[in-house]
Amino acid sequence: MGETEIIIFIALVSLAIIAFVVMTIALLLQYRKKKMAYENEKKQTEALHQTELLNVKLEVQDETMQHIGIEIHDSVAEKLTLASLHLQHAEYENKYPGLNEILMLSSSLINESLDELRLLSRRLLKQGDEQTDIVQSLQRECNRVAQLKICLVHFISDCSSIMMDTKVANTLLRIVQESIQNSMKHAHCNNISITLANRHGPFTLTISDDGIGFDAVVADQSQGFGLKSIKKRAGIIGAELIQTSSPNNGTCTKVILTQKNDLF
Amino acid sequence: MALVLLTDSKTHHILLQKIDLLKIALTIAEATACIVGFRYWKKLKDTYWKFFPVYLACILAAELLGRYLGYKKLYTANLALYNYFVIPLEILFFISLFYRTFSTRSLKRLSIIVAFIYMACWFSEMFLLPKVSSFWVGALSYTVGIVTLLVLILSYLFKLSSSDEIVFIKHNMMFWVCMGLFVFYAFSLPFYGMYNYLYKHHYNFYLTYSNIIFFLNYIMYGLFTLAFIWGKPKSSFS
Repeated sequence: MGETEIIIFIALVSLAIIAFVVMTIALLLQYRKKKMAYENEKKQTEALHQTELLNVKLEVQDETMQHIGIEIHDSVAEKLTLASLHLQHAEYENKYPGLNEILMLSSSLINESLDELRLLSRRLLKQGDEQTDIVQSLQRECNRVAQLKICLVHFISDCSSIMMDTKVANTLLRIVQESIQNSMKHAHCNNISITLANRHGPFTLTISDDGIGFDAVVADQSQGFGLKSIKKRAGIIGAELIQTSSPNNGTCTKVILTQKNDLF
Repeated sequence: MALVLLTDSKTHHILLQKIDLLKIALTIAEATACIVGFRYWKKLKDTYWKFFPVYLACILAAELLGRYLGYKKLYTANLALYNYFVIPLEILFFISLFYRTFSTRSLKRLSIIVAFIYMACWFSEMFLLPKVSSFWVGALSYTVGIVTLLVLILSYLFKLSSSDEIVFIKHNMMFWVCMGLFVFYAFSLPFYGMYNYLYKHHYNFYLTYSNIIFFLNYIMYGLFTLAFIWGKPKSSFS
């Protein structure tokens, strides 16, 4: 009789131990599972929020550009046309023969400005559905930077022309501009190379310099606005961004467009 | 033979002295939980959790009174204090805590049912059934009360594990209270359930397990203290 009672006692204590262990493990596993799901959801929401924010920014930017385009077309261009007509009239009447050459020069200058303004206005207004040649845009950008004579700029492309959505092309152009600015401002480099590859494999844009470089780990922790904005821009167009750098070994920024069909 | 008896009585005396020390440590653990509870009164005062430090103060006062009655050798009064006040207060307080915490109607109903079952057992054992033993009368009602509490604890933990609130488990006061209660009651239930038997037939075993019960008590009051420190009583779940 005595032994039975002790066995019951031990069995009950063992049961309590087993129940406690099972309960704790089950709770821990469930906690881990839910915590991971929660963290993922949080990250996704944050990413979504960032994308929405950037989209709103882009929309506002587009609206502003359209507004500026309309203003240029309707107001500034109209006034300049009027000024050009006045000048042509003055030239035709030949009241001041000594000033004729100046009047002609001014008139042609105004007409050139008008053409440029109209082109600008058209670009600003039709930005949404236009296609842009990224090779040409990049070539222009390289020429512009080369004229500053701060460093040498090399541009290499395996295609003579790549047409793509203007928004994507502009974003790529901004990434290039930001990278070049970083290279010129912080890297103290002599050469900047911009390479475009599209023929074999995915569209890849590479911007590299031979400057002082930076410690990738330190830069990752204290990302400045330039690096952040490059990352954000790449995120908007769904591009993969690879930035490699180490002290005294220059910097290389690679933008790879994997979802080609959506963008071209 | 005489020497053996002497050694036995000496060992017994040391054991009792050790138990006295453990009792003091228990009082300190209870007092700590109670003081920490009142220390965080600000965050508890607008919720039902404000009753928890008050309850702990009552238990502490009752334990001290019990200690005094034991010192004065008023064992019957001491027993009555536990059977008629401390144990019913403990069980009914925690059942009410679960009742307030549960958000679904079915679980609230379960709390009321188990409270009635316990009260019926307690009433019949105290006033209707013949007294089994002179030193521990409430073994049946105590067992029933603890089993019902364990049912509520497991229901709560099961519900918590399936809800998203498990992510904020650290700030969930009820979780820490549940763990404390489970550790103490699940491991002490076999002991208190068979208290009379162990006391009579296996006195040494009874003394050894008494020590373990003290440590379980320390864990329970430690977890209550953590509940006060980490808990956020205004969160949606607790």
